[in-house]
Amino acid sequence: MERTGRSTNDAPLLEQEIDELRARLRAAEDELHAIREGEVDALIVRAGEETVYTLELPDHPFRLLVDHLTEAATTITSEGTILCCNERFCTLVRQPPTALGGRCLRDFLAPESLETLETMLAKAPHRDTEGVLIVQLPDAAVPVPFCLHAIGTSAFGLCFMLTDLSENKRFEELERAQAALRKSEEALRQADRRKDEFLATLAHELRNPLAPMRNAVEFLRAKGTSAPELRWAHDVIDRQVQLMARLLEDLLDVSRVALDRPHLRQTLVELGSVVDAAVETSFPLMERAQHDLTVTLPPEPVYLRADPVRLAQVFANLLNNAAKYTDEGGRIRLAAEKRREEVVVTISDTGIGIAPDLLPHVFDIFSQAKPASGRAQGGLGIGLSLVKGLVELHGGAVDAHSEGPAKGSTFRVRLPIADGVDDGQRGQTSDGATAVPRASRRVLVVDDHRDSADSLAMLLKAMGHEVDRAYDGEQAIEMASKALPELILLDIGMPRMDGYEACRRIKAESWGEHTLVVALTGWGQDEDRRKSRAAGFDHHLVKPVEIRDLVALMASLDAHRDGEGAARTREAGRRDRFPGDGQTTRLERRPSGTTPP
Amino acid sequence: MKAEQHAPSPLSESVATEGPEVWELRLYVAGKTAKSVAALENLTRLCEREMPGKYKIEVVDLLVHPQLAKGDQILAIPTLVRKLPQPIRKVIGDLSNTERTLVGLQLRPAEN
Repeated sequence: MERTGRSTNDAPLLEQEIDELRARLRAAEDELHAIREGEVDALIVRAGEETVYTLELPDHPFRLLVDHLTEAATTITSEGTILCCNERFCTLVRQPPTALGGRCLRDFLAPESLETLETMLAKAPHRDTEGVLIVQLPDAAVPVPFCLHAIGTSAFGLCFMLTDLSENKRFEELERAQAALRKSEEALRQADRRKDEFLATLAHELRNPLAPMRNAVEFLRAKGTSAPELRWAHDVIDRQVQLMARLLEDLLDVSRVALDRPHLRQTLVELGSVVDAAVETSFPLMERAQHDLTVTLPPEPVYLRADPVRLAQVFANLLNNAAKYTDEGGRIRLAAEKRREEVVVTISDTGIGIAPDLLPHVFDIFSQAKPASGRAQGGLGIGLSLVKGLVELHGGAVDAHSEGPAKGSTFRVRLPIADGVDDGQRGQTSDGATAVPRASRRVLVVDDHRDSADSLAMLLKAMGHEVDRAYDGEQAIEMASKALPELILLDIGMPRMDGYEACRRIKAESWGEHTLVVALTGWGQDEDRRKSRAAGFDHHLVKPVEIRDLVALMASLDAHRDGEGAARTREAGRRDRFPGDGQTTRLERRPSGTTPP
Repeated sequence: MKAEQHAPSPLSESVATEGPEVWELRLYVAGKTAKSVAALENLTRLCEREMPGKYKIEVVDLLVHPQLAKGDQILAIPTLVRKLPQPIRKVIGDLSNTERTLVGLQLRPAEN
């Protein structure tokens, strides 16, 4: 109806309308054509809301993947021109991405690789190729394995993958270096440990020959001589043997500390008695150098939870050190001061001092000031290291101060004070019992080291005792059962039957039950003492035996005989100070300083 | 919808209508896809040549404003829309074919 309703006057209008429709049709056809011909690169899809799909969007993840490959990837033309590349490729050739498009791959290759590239490009359109190219960098030539993929039918597209191994290599190198470092560190640690063990063994082994020497010297002394040359010679040997014994002891101690095998026999000790023992030890050195030694202790006793022998060693080492590094006639001062929870013991001297650069290292093992001429006192440079180790084992600290060379040195030892101690609990380390051998004793000396046994026997004989000798455990039992000795000095490590077993058997016999059996050994550790106690030994002496230890032992024999048993007798150790030998009286406790003669 | 016939533009040999004061063109793109970028370049060049100083190009990024696709019923990108002079005309593609673009914009009659 509508249509028929139009008049012919409408003709131009209709024509116009048709034109419009044609235009629209053309537009629609164009649109379809454009899409079909790929003239667009994004589509709008209406599903509720308009969403734009660009070709780049689905491309994006792949782009990311390619960019983050550990392989360098690039697309090149058959002439070798770079079309695009990933980030890794840029890193490999050290160029920004923008500088690479259109460049030729040849620009980045070492000359020797150019031919490879040509060959590769020649056959690449038809098949995949693999090989190695050398990428030339300003400072390096990096060999890079590659593979080349032809991109389908397209003649100019070659996908080029390069595996940059240099990152891997660097990592591997680092790992290798690290492993090597770990290995050498471990080796060092082991070597260090072996060194410590070697030192310990060495010190121990050196004690063995020292024992008979010591005995021989004592024998000579007991025999007496009027010839001054002989007496001089005797004194020299005596002193040197003692010095050597002390060095060995230090060596053994320091290796023990280094091996982390602290053997502290901690008891309640009074500082004064420890200082006394230390002063006594270093006295000969002080005396020889004519040093003026002043000792100041607090007026009231100070109790410490400590190993008296070890602690005495600490102060003795510090005093010896002061004596050694101070010119003759110097002033050396030991002062102890109570400070709340701790006691501070200061040992200062007027000696050669310590250079500031050496100060941090004075406690290092084997670090030693080069002895000035005439001051060479021997020593292994382990004294201070030992001091530090021992003080720390006691829960204390030690430090060193010096104003510099020739300004003297001060060592300060801080030790925690034992709490809750009244005078009633005082240790018995300074009781004043006097030990004097009363009578001739029957003694059996047992040692597989014949020199040791013989010389000790000789010495005891010289002291007026009856002495038998045995050279192993079995022989010892046999000899003991016949001679019924009152005292048996029994070596531990022996062939056929060791000291422990021999001791057990002797103690099991009716005749041996009350015999005083003393372990005689190179080993003086807690563990060794514990073992010898367990085997039934009454005492434990560490070689080389000091004459005064023997004297004390003889004295204790009386106590033993008197039924008081070994309990009251102090265990006679090499370092134990026996009262009544004249030296302990030299120093008395005084509030103010006192100077030994 | 009257398409008035005008004398040819002095700078062009085309038989385009005597143009309006200003040609209002709108180019729909999606970010910086290759064809979007090409389309804008081609269009600018073409306008400078055919109607210098008498055109206005509005670029609509459908990645930013997808809802604007509705108004001109855009199906694919890039699409150029002639808003003025009316009637509205669309040309799809990167406009690299100048001839087709001119026809599409009715700056030149179609050969049919």
